[in-house]
Amino acid sequence: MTAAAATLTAPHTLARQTPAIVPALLREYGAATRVAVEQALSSVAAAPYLGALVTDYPRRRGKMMRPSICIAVARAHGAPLDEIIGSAAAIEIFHNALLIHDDIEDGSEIRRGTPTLHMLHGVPLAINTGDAMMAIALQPLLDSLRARGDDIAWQAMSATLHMARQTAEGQALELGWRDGNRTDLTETDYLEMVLKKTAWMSTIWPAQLGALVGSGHGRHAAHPNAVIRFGFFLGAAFQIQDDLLNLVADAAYGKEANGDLYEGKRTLVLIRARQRASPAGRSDLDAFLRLGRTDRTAAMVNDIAGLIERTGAVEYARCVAGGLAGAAAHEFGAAFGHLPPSRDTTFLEGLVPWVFERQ
Amino acid sequence: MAVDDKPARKRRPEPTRTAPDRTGWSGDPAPVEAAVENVRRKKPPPAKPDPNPDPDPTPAGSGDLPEVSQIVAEAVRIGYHVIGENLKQGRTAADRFRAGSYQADDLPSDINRLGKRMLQLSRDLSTTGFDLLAAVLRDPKILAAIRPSGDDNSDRPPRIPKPTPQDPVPLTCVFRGTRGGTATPTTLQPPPRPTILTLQALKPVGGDHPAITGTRFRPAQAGRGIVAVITIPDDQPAATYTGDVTDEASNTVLGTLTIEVRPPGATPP
Repeated sequence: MTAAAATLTAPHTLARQTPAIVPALLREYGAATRVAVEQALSSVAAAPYLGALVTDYPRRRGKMMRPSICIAVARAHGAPLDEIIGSAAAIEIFHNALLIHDDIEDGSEIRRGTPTLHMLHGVPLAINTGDAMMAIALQPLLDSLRARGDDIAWQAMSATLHMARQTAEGQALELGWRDGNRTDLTETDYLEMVLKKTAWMSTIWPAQLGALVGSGHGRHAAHPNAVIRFGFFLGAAFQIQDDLLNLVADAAYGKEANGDLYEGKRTLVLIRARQRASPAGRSDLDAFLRLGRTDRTAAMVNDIAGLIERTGAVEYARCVAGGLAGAAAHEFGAAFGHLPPSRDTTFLEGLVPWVFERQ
Repeated sequence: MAVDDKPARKRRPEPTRTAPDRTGWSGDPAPVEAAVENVRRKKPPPAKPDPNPDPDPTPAGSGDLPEVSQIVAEAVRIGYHVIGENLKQGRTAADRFRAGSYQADDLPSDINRLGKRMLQLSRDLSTTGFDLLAAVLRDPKILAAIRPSGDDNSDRPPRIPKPTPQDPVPLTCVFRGTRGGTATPTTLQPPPRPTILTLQALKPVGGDHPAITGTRFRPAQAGRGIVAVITIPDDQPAATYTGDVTDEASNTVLGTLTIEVRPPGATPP
């Protein structure tokens, strides 16, 4: 075990604070969403070289955080499940489509414990599958918005387009930083990238759709900007914790151990480590980052992981994630504090500690 | 050549910043710094010693993390800055399409609100629920310093006191009739007092099949939980159906039941 792994798996880190309703609703809403996802994807079930591929990632059983946020926000406003389930299915399909493309762009080999789609079927078919899923995702979204009227539908589609653009910009930033071997990045750069690449798709957009569909059910709607801020801080804390988990990846995590280091991703941990490293350590890190992915050996990655640990960057990232989670807890009150307590509001608030306790 | 006899130009000091400050960090940072300083002092015990210590540790930036307060405060400040700038860009873009929907006069009040939120944030930072910050709660002096004191004119909606959450109760399904069904494992939020559980109808997820009605609830005869008895009509189309389980007394949704009706003759999974 590397030094980084020893620290991250230490039992002192967190007392369990996640309410029991969080895993319960993730299972419940996740199961309902999977049914709707299968139904939507069945439209291309008979298509050769496509039908079997579109269901691959969704059947690998993700955590279903994104659709569950959408459903919980809508239901916290009083909307019934059948009104929001189509939006939840759209979110999950879109998310899986992006995963397919991300895996190709990142050169990832493992997704949820199984070879990535492009490793199984080749890059051209995988790209086509992702394209198809993005288009298919719109159908359940449109279906669920049909009954909500033109204004809500227009706002939901605007939010969807904005999310898609932000996500593409975020991915472009991350890829461009690696391709250009940028080493002058700051925490602000990182958080801007996370906002675009992760938070809009993972937390902001689902909460926005939930609030839009939930509006008009007799409860005062959440303030749009507070919803965005809640989603941003929650998504940023989620991403930093994801970066930390990547350093100790195991079978439950479903990705390659140290996969981010192999890919040279500009994570907060890496940015901090470079800032804090000794001149010799910084030189080693820069030399490592100049290499191509296939040239980075396991021994090199282990050396860099050790360097990161020695700079205190892991503990630093954990602190930042804690601070951002505090901001998320604050913005939860601003966005949803006016709604009557329910299992859905408890779930949404409970996602803050869950981010740190998920496996 | 004309002589420039103008008086020497007054020179202003260089501004400390060159761009608008939309960080929302205009509030007094002292509570955050005090809270985080306490966290730094009460840092969790170190991890188990590495059995294979590095023979040549890097001296710069040890893992002792001497600047926790600055890290947390700076991270949150940057976070508000990033999301503030992004929202501003979003507003600008929206203005192109919907002129007049956003009033420029809103901006100063946005900043003002953000400042107030930062004060509230200093309290939330101590009550978030993970031990990095929860350590604050064990120090009476810090607790007193960050406890809310009266009305701070915050713009946030008043918080409704929350009941103590109880563990969810498992819900099991029993199907009546010749048709088979499969239920998604689920739980119910326990009602605060004895009540009657109702489920108006299990509606199809997509499609326009008739709903399934007549679901009854009983306490489990063995073990813990509630049993839902669902009668599936013989001619019910195979599909997925869902409905809310409600506390009749308070009209509160306690959970959602989702079932799949199998095709006629299909064997159970």
